[in-house]
Formats: sequence, structure tokens, C-alpha cells
Amino acid sequence: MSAIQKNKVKSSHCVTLAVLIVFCILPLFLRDSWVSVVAEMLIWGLAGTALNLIFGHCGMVSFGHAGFFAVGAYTFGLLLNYGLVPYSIAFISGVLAATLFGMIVGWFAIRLISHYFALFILAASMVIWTIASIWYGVTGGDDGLIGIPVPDIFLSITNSYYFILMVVAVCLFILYLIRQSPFGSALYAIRENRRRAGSIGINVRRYVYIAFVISAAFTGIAGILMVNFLQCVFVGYADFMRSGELLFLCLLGGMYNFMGPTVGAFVYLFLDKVVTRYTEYWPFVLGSLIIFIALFFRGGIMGFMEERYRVFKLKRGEL
Amino acid sequence: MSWDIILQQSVSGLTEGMVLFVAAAGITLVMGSLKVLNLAHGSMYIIGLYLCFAVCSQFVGIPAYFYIAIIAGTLGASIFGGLMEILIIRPVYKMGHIYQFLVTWGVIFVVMDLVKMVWGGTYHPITAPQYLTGRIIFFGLAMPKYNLLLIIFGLVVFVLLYLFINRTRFGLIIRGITVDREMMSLLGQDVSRSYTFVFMLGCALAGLAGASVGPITVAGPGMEMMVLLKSFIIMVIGGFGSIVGALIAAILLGLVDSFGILFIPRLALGFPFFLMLIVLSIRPWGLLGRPE
Amino acid sequence: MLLEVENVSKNFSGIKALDNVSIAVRKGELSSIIGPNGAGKSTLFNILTGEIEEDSGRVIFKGEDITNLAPHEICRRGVGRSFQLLNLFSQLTVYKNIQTAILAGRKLTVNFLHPAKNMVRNEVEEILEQIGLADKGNSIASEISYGEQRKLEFGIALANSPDIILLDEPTAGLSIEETKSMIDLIQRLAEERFLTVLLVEHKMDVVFSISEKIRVLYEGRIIFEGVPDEVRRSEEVLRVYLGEKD
Repeated sequence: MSAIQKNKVKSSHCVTLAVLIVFCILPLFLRDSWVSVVAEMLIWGLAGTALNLIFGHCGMVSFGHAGFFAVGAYTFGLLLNYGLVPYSIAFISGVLAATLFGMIVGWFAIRLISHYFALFILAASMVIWTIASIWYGVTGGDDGLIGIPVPDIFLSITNSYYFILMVVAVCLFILYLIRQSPFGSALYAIRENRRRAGSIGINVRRYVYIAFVISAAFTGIAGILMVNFLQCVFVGYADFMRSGELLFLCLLGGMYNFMGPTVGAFVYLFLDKVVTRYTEYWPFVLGSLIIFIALFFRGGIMGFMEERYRVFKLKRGEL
Repeated sequence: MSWDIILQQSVSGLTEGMVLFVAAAGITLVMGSLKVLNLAHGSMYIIGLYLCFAVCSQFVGIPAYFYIAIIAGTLGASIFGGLMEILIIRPVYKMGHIYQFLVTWGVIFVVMDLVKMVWGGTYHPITAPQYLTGRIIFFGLAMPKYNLLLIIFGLVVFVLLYLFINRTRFGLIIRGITVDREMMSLLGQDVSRSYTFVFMLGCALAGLAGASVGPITVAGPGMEMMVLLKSFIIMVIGGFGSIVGALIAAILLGLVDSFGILFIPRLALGFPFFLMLIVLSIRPWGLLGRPE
Repeated sequence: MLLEVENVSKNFSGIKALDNVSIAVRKGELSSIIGPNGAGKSTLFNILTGEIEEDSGRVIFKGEDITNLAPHEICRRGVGRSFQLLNLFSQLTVYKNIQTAILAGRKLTVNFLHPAKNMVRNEVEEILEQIGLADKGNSIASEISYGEQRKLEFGIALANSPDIILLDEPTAGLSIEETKSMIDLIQRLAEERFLTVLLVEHKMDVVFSISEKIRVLYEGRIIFEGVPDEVRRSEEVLRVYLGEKD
């Protein structure tokens, strides 16, 4: 590796470490209400990054990823609510449920292309939404369930925050490894040129399937974390609006960059809190932003910054 | 189950089916020929609805006010659609479907609030003219007149659309674009303009559906999404681009909805989605569509 | 025989794209298929690489019937292919284009967790060197010149060290010098890597200068097969090309 590359590696490691440290010490000087917001941002960041595995990385739009979020959330929430199993089993069950749902939906979905694919997953998530809505006796229907018993240790916001930070950090790390791996390279190839990917030896269908299932699993974990944090679960988790917001996170933060969805989550939630204070027309702002970014800023925030950085480096003759 | 109830539910289901057909015809036409999935389709529906409501409240005294209102709703949705196509969809045709989806998705939110801004989110049911309302004796039962008229209306729209697509010159152009866009361009057709027109036609149909259903419906939050989803389902089941398929699927959906509420009220909510899932799994191109 | 095509036919809604085509390619051979536009050359390649299904007939490679295999399975068995219209991984770097092809070909892409960055580095650099793009490794594929992109197109097909390589008009759109350079490259690498090459080309001078054997495809049928001299003197071939604007 050249000296420049070695420097790049070191600097990106330092940045990551610095960011982690900042997140660790945040609760020390932020109010609880803001710590909650950051916790939510982290959860959404994970969900967005999981979606981005098949969205930005593989080039497939899914309008129903909230379905996986909800399956994880409800499985975990219901098991805990009715005291059927201990905490850890509930957690694992949630992950397994989301994974299984991903496997079933994925098996059908990957056989479809583009528009059909997007609609199929939408339909699948709406089925979950419907089941959650009508199964009033079990899921609390439209009202959802509140006051789900979680272990006492999580009753403190700070503790919950650290737990979430830890799980999200580990999950993001795994997702990062996947992205950088040969499997990740194959996914990029599939995004760029499906046909050529097949002709160089990639079993496109199988790889997309695996990516889809992984994506579903990690989205499910995000769902579980949400229930763990808020101690409630409701139908809105499976809503197509939710799915749309997930897509928007990726787009806003930059779907071609690993940290894009997480950055998107932060900016989005921040905008949500701030804009709603000044105007009731948040959907209008949101919609306009979506259109604007889709038309002019396809790389999102991270894409924009990367471009600036590249131009900066070019000007300094370092490329 | 008595004949009375069957008749009642059938009329109710057919009414819903016909209105949905008009809306779905729009989305399936656009999808079939332009290969564009307009997620804001439901938004065009509510634009039609609200414009009709606005014109009705303004011009109640004038004769034929109701028809003016419906035309206003249809035109309004159509023009909005035209602007949408030119300003934000044209730039993204060449860029892969993701951007189409995202851009039309954004429009949903924008329209959602625009409607709130202009009409304040309050909605009063539209009063249709006297001679269109009330009940009429139909097969021994008193049925709402307007609903029966809507059914006939839907059929008329179907016939007109079918003739338009299959018997007129412009319909030929639409069919040509569907099959081979490049060839049409080489043949001297201004394809961009044709695209805009077809898109406007699709939006007009959605607006027409929304406007015509005004007197018997109440606008509520999330309405555009329900219309969107139901139109999708009809489009998928009937086949992308197929008007006849849309009619059959819409009637099917309407009847399932109205009879479903009788038997299993809870599941009726989710049945359309199950149906869509099944059709997508077995025949992704729908009952009457063509495999690509 | 390395590759045998036996009585392959393909119909596209009534039009016979291929009509009982049989070809035998010997190991180490550098041969071509020529024919006017629409003769069925690309269709034949698509069938050989598993992208479309033939209506009848068989394809046998290294003694194995590969007729019904998927493209990725055929690639793994040692068939490489380049495309007439550039089929690159446009937004990836040149390096990544080649690296991914090597990783995929060797089934290393099942690896989830190990960083791909330094894998097969030597092999990638070797190929980049051989196709003359060693200094363009970090450039994005869509940003290099057309001539370089054509070389990359070829390089991707080579990456998996195939036994046979199917080249579909590798010099399409290239200038005279670039064409010569590309042909030299193909010949050189064919020798160095013991490649069998099956070429589809339009440019007659190219075809006649490097082919050991030429097959003429016309309206879905092989109407002539032989060494360049025989082809040049054949009346049938002349008739087929008369009136053909080249």
C-alpha cells in the first residue's frame, strides 16, 4: 500500500473511533430527552443501513421494509408482553422471526423485477400491518401495546441508550464487513450490471436473496431495539409511510455511502423535531425535500461531501 | 342470506368497483405504456375530490354546477399531472426506476399538505343536484340512485376508453409507444409530448374518479394511500396496461370488499393485499397482461 | 474438440434466428464467425453462454453437455465472453471491475466477512498490465476513453482464466490504430494464456488477418466454413455479401 493509502486507512479509523467516543460520552452532557432522540436516531440508522444493503448497494427498491421492522418488533414485544419467555429468548426469537419472514417474502420477491418487486414487498408489509391491526385481542390492534415489561436495567434512559449504542455499533460493524467483503463486491456488480454479473459467474438470484434476508434480519433487530427502548409496539411500525421514511433516510444521507443512511437518520429526525416546531406542514417540506434530493442530489449528503472532498483533493494534486 | 342483502351488497360492491375502475384505469394505462409507476396517483384522486368540493360550494346556485365541478376536478388533476410529468418525471426517465418511485413518492406528501393548506383539511360532503340523489326502486328494493348512476357511469367510461385506445389515432400512438418507444420516435411522433399526454390522461381518470365519488364519500386522512393501494392491486391483478383487466379486477375487488365485510369484517381489510400477493407470485403480469 | 454445437435452432416468434447450426471448435484455435447483420451471430453467443434457451440442439463444452446451464454456471466451467455493446460495471473502478470478475469466477464471493481489498491483488494487477490499463486502476470505468473501455470489456472476460473466450465484435467503434492494437492484444494473450478464441466480427481485414478458420453465418445457417483463402474465393460467400454496405 502506498503511503497515501496507509494514511487514509489510519485517518478513517481515527474518525470512527472519535465518533464512537463522542457517542459514549453524550449522555454525560445531554438532557435525557435528547439522549432519547439520539437513541432513536441510532435505531433508525441501523434500519436504514440494513435496507441500504439491498437499496443503495444492490439497486433494488423495497417499499415494505417496515414489515421486517414490525415483525421483529411484534415478535419480541408480544413474547415479552405475555411473559412467555425470558428476555434473551424473546430477543433471539424476534431476530429469527424477521429472518424467517425475510426468507419467505424474499423467495417470491426476487423472482420479480423492479416494479413488481417493489409492490410485492409493499403488499407483504401491508399484510403484516393488517394482521397487526385486526388481531386486536393479541396485538392491541390500532392502539398497540404499551407498557411492555423489559428488564429493570432498561428503565433508565442512559442504560437503554448504551445498550442500543452497543447493539447498533456491533450490527453496523458486521454490515460494514459484509459491504467490504467479496460478497459485497458481488452485490455492487449486480447493481451496476446484472447481466454481466451473471456472465462472470455470480448466481445473481441467490446473492440477491441472501442480501435480502440479511437486510430483513438486521431491520428486525432495529425493530426489537425500538420496542426495547419505548416499551411499546404499534401498528405504525409496519406502515408503508414507515417504509417510505426508511427509503428517504437512505436517499437523504447518501445511498452510495455506508454511513449515508445513518447520517440520513440523524438529519431526518433532527429536521422532524425542528421543523415540526415551526410549521405544521412537515409533510410538505418532507415531500419537497424528497423530490429535490432525488432530482439534484442523488448522492445525498455523504455523496455531496465525498464529491467536495474529491474536488478538494484534485485541486491539491493529490489524486 | 336473503336476496335483499345480496342485491344490496352487490350494488354497493359494484359502485365501489366502478369508481375504483376509473381510477385504476388511469394508473394501469400509464404503467402499461410509459412504464411509469405513479405513486402520487391517489393524490390526483383527492385533488379531483377537493376541486369538485370547492367548485360545488362556490357555484351551488348555478345550473349544471355539479357537472362543472366534476369537469373541474378532472381537469385540475390532469393539469397537475401534466406539470408533474414535465417538471419532475421527465428528468428521471433515463435513470432507473428508483428515482421515478422516489419523486412521485415525494409528491404524495406535497399534495397531502397542499390540500390542507388550501382547504384547511375540513371537508363537507358534496351535495349533488336533487334529481341525482334519493332512492329508486330497483328489483324490488330501494337503492340509492347515485350509486346506480355511478355504476352506469363507470361502464360508460370503460366503453369510451376502450374505443379511444383501440379505435382512434391517438390510441394507436399509445399502443405504439407501449410496444416500442424508439420506433415511434423514429416514425416521427413527438414521443415526449405523447408521454405527457398519456400521463395527463391517467391523472385525469384518477381525478374523475375522485370527483364523481364526492357525493357519497367523506374525505379522510390516508385516503390517497388507500386509493393508491387499491389501484395498484387492480392494476396488478388485471395486468399492466389492460383496461378490460382493470374492469374485471376492480369489480372483483369491489364485490370482495362489500361481501367480505358481511362475513369476515376484519379480514376484508387485508384481503386485497393477500390477493395481490397471490397474483404476483403466480402471474406477475396479471390476469390479462403480457409477460415482459 | 473443446466446444461442440450440435444442430442448434432458435425461433423468435416465427423468425428463424438459428437453423440447425453446428460448429466444432478445436482447443487452441483462433477462429471467427462472420455474416451480415441479423445473421444470428449474437443469438448464437447468447445461447452458448446460457442467456437464452435454444429450441433444439445441444452445446457440449469439454465433453460436458452445458445446454441447460445458467450463465454463471457456464462461466465457472471456463467460458468467458465479451459483449458487442459495452457491458461494464460502470460506476466501479477499473480495478474493481477486474477484481470482481476474478473473485466471482473463483467462487470467492461467498466470503462474507473478509475484506476484499487485497484479495487476488497480484492476479488483478497482472491482467491490468496485460491489457494495458495498469495506470488506470483507480479510474471509474465510465470515465475512461472508449478504447480503454473496450480493453476493459475484454479484460473482464479474461479475468476468470477461461479455456475459451467468446468475443462479440471486440473492435466495434474503434479507430484503425485502436483496432490493430486490440487485435494484437487478443492474439498475444491467446498465445500467452493458451486461450481458444471464437470471434464474431464485422471488419473483414481483422477477420482475415488473424483467423485460422472462418465460418460464415447467413440467415441462421452456416453456409460456408474454411480457412481464410477458401472463404475469400467462395462464390456463395460473395453472393451473400454483395450489396451489403459495410
